[in-house]
Amino acid sequence: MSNKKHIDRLFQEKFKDFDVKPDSKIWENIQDEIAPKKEKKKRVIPIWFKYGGIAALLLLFLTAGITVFNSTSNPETIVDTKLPTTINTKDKNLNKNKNTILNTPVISSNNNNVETYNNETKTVSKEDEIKTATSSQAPIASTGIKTDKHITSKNKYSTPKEATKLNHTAAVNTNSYKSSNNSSAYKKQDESNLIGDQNNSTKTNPLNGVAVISNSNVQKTTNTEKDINNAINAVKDDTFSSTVAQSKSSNKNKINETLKDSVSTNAIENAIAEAKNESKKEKIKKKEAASKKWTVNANVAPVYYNTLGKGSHIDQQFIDNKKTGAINTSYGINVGYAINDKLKIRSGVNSLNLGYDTDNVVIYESVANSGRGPNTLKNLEMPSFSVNGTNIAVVSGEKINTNQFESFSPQEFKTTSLKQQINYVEIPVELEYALINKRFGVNVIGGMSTFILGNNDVSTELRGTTTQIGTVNNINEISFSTNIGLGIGYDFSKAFKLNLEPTFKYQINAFDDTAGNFNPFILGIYTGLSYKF
Amino acid sequence: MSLQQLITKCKVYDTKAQSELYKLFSSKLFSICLKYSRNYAEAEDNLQDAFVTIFKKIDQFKHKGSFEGWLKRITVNTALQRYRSQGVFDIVNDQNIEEQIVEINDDEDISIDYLLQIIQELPDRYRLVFNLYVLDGYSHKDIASMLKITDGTSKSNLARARQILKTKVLEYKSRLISQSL
Repeated sequence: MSNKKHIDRLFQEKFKDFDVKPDSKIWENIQDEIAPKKEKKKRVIPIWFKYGGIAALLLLFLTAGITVFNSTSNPETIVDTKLPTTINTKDKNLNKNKNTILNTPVISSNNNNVETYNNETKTVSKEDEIKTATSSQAPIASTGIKTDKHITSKNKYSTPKEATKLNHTAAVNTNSYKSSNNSSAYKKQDESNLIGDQNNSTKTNPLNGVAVISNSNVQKTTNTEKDINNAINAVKDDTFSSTVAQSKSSNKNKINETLKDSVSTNAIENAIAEAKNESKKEKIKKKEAASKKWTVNANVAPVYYNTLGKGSHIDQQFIDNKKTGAINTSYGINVGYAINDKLKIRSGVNSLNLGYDTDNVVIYESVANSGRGPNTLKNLEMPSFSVNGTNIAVVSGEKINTNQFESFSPQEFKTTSLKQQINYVEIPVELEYALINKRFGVNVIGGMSTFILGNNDVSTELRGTTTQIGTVNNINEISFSTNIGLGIGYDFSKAFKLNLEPTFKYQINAFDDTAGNFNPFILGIYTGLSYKF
Repeated sequence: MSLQQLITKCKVYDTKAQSELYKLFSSKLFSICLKYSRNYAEAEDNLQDAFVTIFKKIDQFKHKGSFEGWLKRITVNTALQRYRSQGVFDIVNDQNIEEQIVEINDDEDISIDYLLQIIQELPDRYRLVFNLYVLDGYSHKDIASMLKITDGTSKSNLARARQILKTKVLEYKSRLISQSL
């Protein structure tokens, strides 16, 4: 036996000139695979689109979120600012005494107006608080303490109300220059709250110049402080669009990051090896499946709103009144993701207008009944609705006692209807199950929707014109519905599809404290165009 | 046609040039695939994949360094991609294994087919490490980053691979002897 030898050497020597000619079929396979170049390019697209879809979804939810928080601050605005304007419009319609209306709506001796005035002064004081808050914050910032903790701990020494305000501004300040997206939800809330407050003040500004001055004061005193300036500027600018833009760009960044990540980790080999691991047939199949996973659908629908049971959300006395559902519109956009061939999950945002009438209602002007008389309705707030000290009263035509109205001339005594108008932002989450999955498809849809209240007003026909008389106070800010529907679709190209979806939505907690059995539902026939990718 | 011209033509998907390139390098690269793969069929798959990559990425070759080296790297990476995720169960403690000298008697009578076979029979990671270190001259540091393992794991994997190979070589020899007897 010869010398001992390291095993490595043995292999190295043997494999030094190791060459094996591969089978000729390999070359054929390679040719097949590299020939159709277009396919390869296609592969990249679905990955991009996936991220794009996620980004779009995020964006949708963000915009929805903003609307939510804006709408939560809306009621304040309505209470504070709408009152004078309603008087104005109403007065124009009803009153010949223009002087009093146009010049001094506030000076009117009416109780409600005084209330309005109070409200306004409240907002002024709010402004002051903000001002003091920011100005008191200036020294803190100037000492160079930048952390939230310090600011909030400082707040503890001020009065509680001020403290909360200060918290708000502090939060916004830090937000505006931090630009980290982690706690975006919380931030958004704060920002939008602040925006809401600010909106209040700007809307009431014509009535109180003080607020304006205080605003500019804030700016002046804090000129040296970049942070605070930033915050104020942010608020002053069209913050809504800027936040949207921010979120857009942040989404983009995220996509870029994730893509970068994937690229950096041996992206070339990764992508290729992945591509290769599947045989060609599999590839084609997968491509088809992957390329059709996402859909974007824009839809519009006539929606019919009415109640199932006998009842009224406005007052006891309207339980037996006839209700007429109104046909309104809903429009929106949603994004769907195909879990498999049959099942698809989808979500989106819809703007939804609803309306229905409570018929056979008598509206009359009463001098005697000022404020909350016996005829005041339980859930209908009619603030400051008066003309020359004359209040409007609403009673059900079903229960009317004609003797009560002896003094009325016959033409004054007419039945009309109360028109309830509601505007929701709807966020549906639905599952779609395909019964027939061909060019002409049929599917069943089930799911739920979250409704976020936007507008809510009650109007009526008064002296020939429709006038808003108040708002209903028992509509929930957030409510839900269960949805079922039937979808019919027609693929007129590989990517585009026409949809028709009659959908029934049963609202679950739309109103608090309704009289009788008031179960609202929404019936919509959604038509839309969807794009698959 | 010079290699440079060939590469340039391959970049514009010239079928003839591609075929030429394949003829030039397929044997060399197939031998790499055979060493890094579990069996002949998988080696064919890897070769196919490697060439597809090469033709798709050839426009990224900037004539820095040797073209053959670039081709080999892609081929090795293709194999690594396939097998590196499948880790082996590390029985050996990283610390205990040092660079042992594994020696066998020097004989010329072992067929390359058998050597290839026993390499292919190694657990995936042992095979990769052995190939990279012994046959392709990568350092443990390189191997560690390529396979996403630690230096120590690379070393211990190599030691285990050597042990297994040695046992198999010895088995082979004893079989030869028993046959000849």
